[in-house]
Amino acid sequence: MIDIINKIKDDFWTLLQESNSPDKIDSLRVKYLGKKGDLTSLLKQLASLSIEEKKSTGALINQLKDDITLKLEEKFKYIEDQAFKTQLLNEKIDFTLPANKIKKGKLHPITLVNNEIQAIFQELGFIIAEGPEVENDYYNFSALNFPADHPARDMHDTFYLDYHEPRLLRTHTSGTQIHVLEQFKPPVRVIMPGKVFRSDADISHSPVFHQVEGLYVDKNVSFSHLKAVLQYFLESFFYKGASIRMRPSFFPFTEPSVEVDVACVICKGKGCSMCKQSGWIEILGAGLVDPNVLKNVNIDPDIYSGFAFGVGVERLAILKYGINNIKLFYDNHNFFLEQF
Amino acid sequence: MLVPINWLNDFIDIQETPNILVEKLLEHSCEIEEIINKSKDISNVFVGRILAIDKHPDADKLVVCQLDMGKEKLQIVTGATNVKVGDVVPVAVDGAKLPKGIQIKTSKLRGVLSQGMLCSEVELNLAQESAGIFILPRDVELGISVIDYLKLDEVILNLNILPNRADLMSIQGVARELSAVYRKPVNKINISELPVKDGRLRIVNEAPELCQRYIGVVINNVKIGSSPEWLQKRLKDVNIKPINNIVDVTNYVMMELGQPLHAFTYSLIDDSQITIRKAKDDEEMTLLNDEILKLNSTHLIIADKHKPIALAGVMGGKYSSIMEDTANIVLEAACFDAVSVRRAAFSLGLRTESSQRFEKGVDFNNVEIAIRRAILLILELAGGEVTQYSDVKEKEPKKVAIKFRPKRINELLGTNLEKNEMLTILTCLGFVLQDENIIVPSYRAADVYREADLVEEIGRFHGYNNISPVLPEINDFSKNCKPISHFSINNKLREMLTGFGANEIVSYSMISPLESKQLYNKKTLAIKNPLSITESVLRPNLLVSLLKNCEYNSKNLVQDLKTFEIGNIFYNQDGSIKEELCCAALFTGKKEKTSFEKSERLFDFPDLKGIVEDILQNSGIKKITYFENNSFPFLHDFRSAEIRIGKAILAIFGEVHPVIQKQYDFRRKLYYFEIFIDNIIKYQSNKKQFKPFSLYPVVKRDVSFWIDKKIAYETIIKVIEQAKPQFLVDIKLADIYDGNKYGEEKINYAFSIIFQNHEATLTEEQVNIDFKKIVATLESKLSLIFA
Repeated sequence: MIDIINKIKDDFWTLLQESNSPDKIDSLRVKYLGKKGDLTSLLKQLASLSIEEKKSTGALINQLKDDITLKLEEKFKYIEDQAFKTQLLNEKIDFTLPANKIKKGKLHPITLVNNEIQAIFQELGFIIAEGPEVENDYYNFSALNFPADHPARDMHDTFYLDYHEPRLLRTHTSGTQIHVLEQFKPPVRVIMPGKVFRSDADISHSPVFHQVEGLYVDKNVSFSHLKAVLQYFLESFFYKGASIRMRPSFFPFTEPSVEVDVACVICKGKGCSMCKQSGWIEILGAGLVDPNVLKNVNIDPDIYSGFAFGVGVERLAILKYGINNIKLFYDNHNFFLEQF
Repeated sequence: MLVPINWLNDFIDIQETPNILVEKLLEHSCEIEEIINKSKDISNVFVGRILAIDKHPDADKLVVCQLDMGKEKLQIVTGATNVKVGDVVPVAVDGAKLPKGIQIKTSKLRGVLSQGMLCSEVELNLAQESAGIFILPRDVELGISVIDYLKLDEVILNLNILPNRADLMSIQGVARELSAVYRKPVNKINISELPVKDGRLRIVNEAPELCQRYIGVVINNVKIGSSPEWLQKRLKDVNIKPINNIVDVTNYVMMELGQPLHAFTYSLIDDSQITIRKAKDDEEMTLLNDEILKLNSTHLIIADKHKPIALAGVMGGKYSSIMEDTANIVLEAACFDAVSVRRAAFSLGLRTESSQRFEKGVDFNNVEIAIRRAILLILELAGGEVTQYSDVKEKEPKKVAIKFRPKRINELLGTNLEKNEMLTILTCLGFVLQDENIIVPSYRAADVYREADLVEEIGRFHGYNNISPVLPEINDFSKNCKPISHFSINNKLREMLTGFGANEIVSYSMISPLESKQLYNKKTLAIKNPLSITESVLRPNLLVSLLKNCEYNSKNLVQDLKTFEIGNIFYNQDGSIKEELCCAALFTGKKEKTSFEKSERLFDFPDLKGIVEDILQNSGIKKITYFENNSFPFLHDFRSAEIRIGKAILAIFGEVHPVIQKQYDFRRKLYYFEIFIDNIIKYQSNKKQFKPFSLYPVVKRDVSFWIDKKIAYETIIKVIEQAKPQFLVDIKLADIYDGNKYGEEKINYAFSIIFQNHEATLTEEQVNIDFKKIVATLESKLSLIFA
């Protein structure tokens, strides 16, 4: 009997190894565990044995039955797993194939930089204001304390319109200061982005470019406020810890006037070709609002003071993105636009 | 403004390296364009004497020179014609380096050994032009370096003087700045001893408003000749060509003290009288540079009895200029009106060293100091005696006094400076405290006349970099100040358009007036002084910009394009200038370009309409009504539309007119829209109202029919709605078929009509009632054939 049991066991093992499909596993189950299966008929033969033999042999047979049941289940699960794995493998996609995307369009780098500037100044409580691009002499020059026929006007090559009254294309965003201060009394804290025009063009100058003007007029506004605001802006825009330097300059609408340099954004002040080895890059003009400007908008310069600044957007974009030719901004080639 | 450091040292004793000096000036005073060191590019150039000159055996135009270089002798072949035996000249020897990267090596010239090169001033970069080899004085020690002999290692600073700083247009002025930097005094020049014999030059000032002061001096018996080496060297250092001792002195004093001067030949002044007057129209004069000027009554001139002798403050005339045989001279120093000189110099295109100083404003008091300085130098260098001296003063300028309020100055700078510290700075600059006022020296009166100007002086010499930054408090400033800004709507439009895959462009506002005529839908505004014809009118729409960009891209590899721009358009409306913010986009080519997609289709009208409609809806335009396009000739007559509310146009869109497309040779159709942002703002409503929605099942019924093409789709929809079906929720166009089954005028539409009940599941019967109503209404109101 024991020999028979062992033979069944060995046969099962051999057959199990050879069974590689759910069908074959099922026929094994029928062969061994079915109503007419090998183990069932073996159990039937137990009746002819002694009680002791019945016990021991019966236990062996039952043990074998349990084993076979378990093995069949295991093998069945294994086959199923293998089949699923094969199925997944067959579904394999080459993820290096090109993406099929609904491409989002890109914003122009001038917009990107403008938005960044505006976001930084909004953190400092600045509100956005706009002014017209076609101006008259008053807003672009006289109200900003440019005397007629003064050499200061030489710094602004101006486009004039062919119109029955004198009109020009604004040469800077500073005229918007006047529009804002005519409408609102201090405290006023605004930034004024916009397009400006100069009748001057070469490799580094475009007749159209963009500025962001800043203005804060209130009681007790001081130069040290200006310095902190610009420091905050330049550090936020370029990099934490960017040091700034201020040099005397001249703008008719600010007094004192300064030119602000930032430690070179490429070499961090060590000296490179971008900063012509000086370690510094000229970045914006600023100053305290000239008392004549305040008087022109009926604000008493003995009570109020203010600061103003103007920054060139293209210049910031050039530094930020390493753009090497100002013409690229206005060519708007798709290969350029899609990089930002 | 060129400033040789050693000239500066005449006025102030500074022992500082040029780099540190430049940094100090940059920090406190003005920008430095360049640090010039002429010795930098020169090496191995020595002084030698020509011992012999022989003909070159094989070349007619060359000679062979033997040179004594002190310790050695050299043979050099040259083509120069101005050298003689005995001349002392600069010699670049074997291994020498000259400016512009020139290197000298021993070589054979036409078979004759040449051990170097004789140099001209041009070759040493000492002058713009020279007649030949630079001939040096005969007593120069042979063999010494030319750099040492000519003091070429002296550094010259090129300062960038800002328009408000007339006072910095002189060596003395720069020295005054350094005085405040280093807190050191400025040396005054000695002008006290002025020997004048009786006699007054007759001066008639007929234009007192344009000439506030005129000093005319006659010096007799001067001997015209070359200036001494030191003076010539200084003039050359500041790029002024030495001419003769008299002219050189006038230029020298101008550079030193900032006051332009002029000298005339006295005998050539008719009637010995100087008249300051406006020119007559069409009066002519020949300038020193031989240019013949046609004058008019806006020009201020200096004249003798009959003719102009100088264009005041700009340039002298040729006729009465200083000549080799001039014996008696008139020396002029004046204070001419800045605006008048500026206009004259500008209109005649003559911006001279003199006019640049006058147009910034010269110092009334300095006129006298400068002429005295010049007289003393002339007497020293050219001899002679002063025989006449006249000083015509019109209105003497008032002294400028500014109330001194150290507290307010500290408030404005955000500093805490002692009063004495402020006074030290001001004193170094020549300001004087008198009672509670600061008296401004006349040479600074043009730019310092208010408290704010004092704040600047103190700020820059205390050092802006020494002021501590303090962030101002952040309050809500919008309560007080709410300017109108398009910032938020613009960014929303940008967000949507990039979402549709369009790239943003930024273009010039100026366009060409020579583009396709159909592009100018409005009366354009022209620029009076354009840089070029292609940028000479302001754009009346954004299409021009987008179209030109499309043209540029399509010529440069990009045919499928989606672009947009937000910017101002400009036009003349009934004589007034309109400036209007618009947002426009141009679409052309394949709708969605992917690398391996099998079926591609081109962007079309419904795509465009979808984008416009979506943008408007998302901008808060609740009801969108389409009208025929009547105002925009650049769009296809029958493939375009306007979206209006009343008369206000919110948007236009359509296919770009085929005429334009053909003119620009675009192979694919272009689709364009333009949105008028201010009208959107006017009619937008940001109100959002929730409506309950139903999750009961929907039922769909299809209907298909042929109908006359002339009937607008919108009319059919209205008719369906007129049937007032109770449970109608949506009408979907399922298909369009433009076949010829019922003739060319008919078109087939297939609709899916969607029904839903908000309270319960729809019954078959309810749907049937609604659907029958719809079919009946369609049949009664429209002429159609059910398919």
